[in-house]
Amino acid sequence: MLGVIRNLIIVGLLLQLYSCGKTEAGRVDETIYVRHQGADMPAYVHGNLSSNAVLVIVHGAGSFGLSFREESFKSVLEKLFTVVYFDQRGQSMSEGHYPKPDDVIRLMGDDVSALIQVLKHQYGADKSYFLLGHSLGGMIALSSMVNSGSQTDLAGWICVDGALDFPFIKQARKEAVLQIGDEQIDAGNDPGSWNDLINRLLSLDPDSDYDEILKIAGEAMDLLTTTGVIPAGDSKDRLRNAIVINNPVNWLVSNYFNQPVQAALAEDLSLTNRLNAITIPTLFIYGKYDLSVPPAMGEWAKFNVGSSSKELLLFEQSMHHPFYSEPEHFVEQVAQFINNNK
Amino acid sequence: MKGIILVHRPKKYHPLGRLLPTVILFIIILLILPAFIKAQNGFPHPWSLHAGYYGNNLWNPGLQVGADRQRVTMDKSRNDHEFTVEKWFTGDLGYYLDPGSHGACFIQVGTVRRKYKERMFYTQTGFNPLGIYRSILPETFLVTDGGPVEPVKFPGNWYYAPSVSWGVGQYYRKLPGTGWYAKLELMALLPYNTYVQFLINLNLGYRIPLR
Repeated sequence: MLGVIRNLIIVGLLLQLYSCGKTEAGRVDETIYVRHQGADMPAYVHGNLSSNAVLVIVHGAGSFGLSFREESFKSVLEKLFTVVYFDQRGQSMSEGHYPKPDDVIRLMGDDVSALIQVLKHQYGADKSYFLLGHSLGGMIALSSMVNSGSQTDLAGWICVDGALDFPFIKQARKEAVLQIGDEQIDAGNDPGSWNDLINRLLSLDPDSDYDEILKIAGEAMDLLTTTGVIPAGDSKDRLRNAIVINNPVNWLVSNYFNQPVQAALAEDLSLTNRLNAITIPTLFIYGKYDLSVPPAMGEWAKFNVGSSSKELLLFEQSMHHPFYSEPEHFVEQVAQFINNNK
Repeated sequence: MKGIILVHRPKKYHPLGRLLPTVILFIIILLILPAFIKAQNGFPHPWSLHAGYYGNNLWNPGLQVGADRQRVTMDKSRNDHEFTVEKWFTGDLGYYLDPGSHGACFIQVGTVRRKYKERMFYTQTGFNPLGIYRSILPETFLVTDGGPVEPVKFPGNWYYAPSVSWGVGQYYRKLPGTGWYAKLELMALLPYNTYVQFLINLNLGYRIPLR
């Protein structure tokens, strides 16, 4: 029996060793949690702690913070800055107890503000903080700035394929599929399939046929990949992040029960009328072939934003995830923006 | 940061370290307790202990220890096929570590039904209606609207955690109650966020009878 106890203790000690991360001077690799309004949300902090710039990533719908942590982020952004990958309320590894919120997008924006407060408390208030929001995360970041007042704590905003205006996106998506379809037919890239998609799309109404148009947009993006217009990309890191680094069951179940994008869709949420309140430097990055949040959204956002320093970059070989399809170009642009504004 | 560089060293996260004394205490209690319990007639080895690997979502490592108390044994026959059914009360203490995000410990109480199809292996079905799960989080900061940022003491959350399990085990004829077992367990955490969370666990271990 003593042998059993001894073996259990050895197993425990081995587990304890397994939980320790590497420690390097000037570098941080740690997880902290933010408790706000009943939710405990993990922030995975990696990178160069001696840098005076901190990049905070707000993921999009159905995603998770560490999904961004691919080789380009690790080898470039984490070497230059501290990078914070955040799991939002009800997503992935976030936990806690709280009632279903009345305005989940606003609450998630408040959560981001709470995260910024914690990061300032933990890593220094006089560092320069940058917010990068992708897709729905773009709207949540915007809500955090205009509704929760986090803009005063930030040195810049990077909006990647930001879904800032759902009524606008509904209209723009159909037009974008038709436009790209025509271009691909002219270019001779599988014209039969594109004609089929266009014929199915023409009679649909953007307001009442939202799901069907979204489905056709998805098929169109698949077609862009299979015809080689968009490079397929290496997904080894992505698969590892999704299945091994992240906890896939937690992600799947949380994603099933908590879908803030449905709330945003249900109320046709738009924050473009609040964009004029944004005065910090802003970088919009949109994929030229993004049919989920078309680049017209970026043009409209750039037109409306109140910042004097604003720029829109169209990624020529990207759809909805330019950080996957053009990773080197993406991190280069993000690093340049941060270096110019920190 | 203008002109001054503050270097923060990563804080090591040792949730197991906090829990290890509790696990050891629980094991000791399990070992001492049967000495005070009188075995009942009819069951040669009414108590058994088990311990083994516990993998939350299969690969997040952990360990589980527990005790079983036999309550009934029945010899049955169906379609000229004879088999034995044993029903046990069971109690477990477990811990696992999800590296990089959290650890968790739990206590479960329930029943398990073992069916000996052959005198080599058994199948088992378990149901633990009583379960308590406690997540153990690394450094956590509370933010209240308009208030200061405050560190949370003993961060984590309690959940009601019933579970069901299915598995197989080794039947060692010369010493019933001894042998390896493997089971898959589905645990529900309630209330988790706004609804529920499910955990899939792999449990590989060894049972020994108490004489």
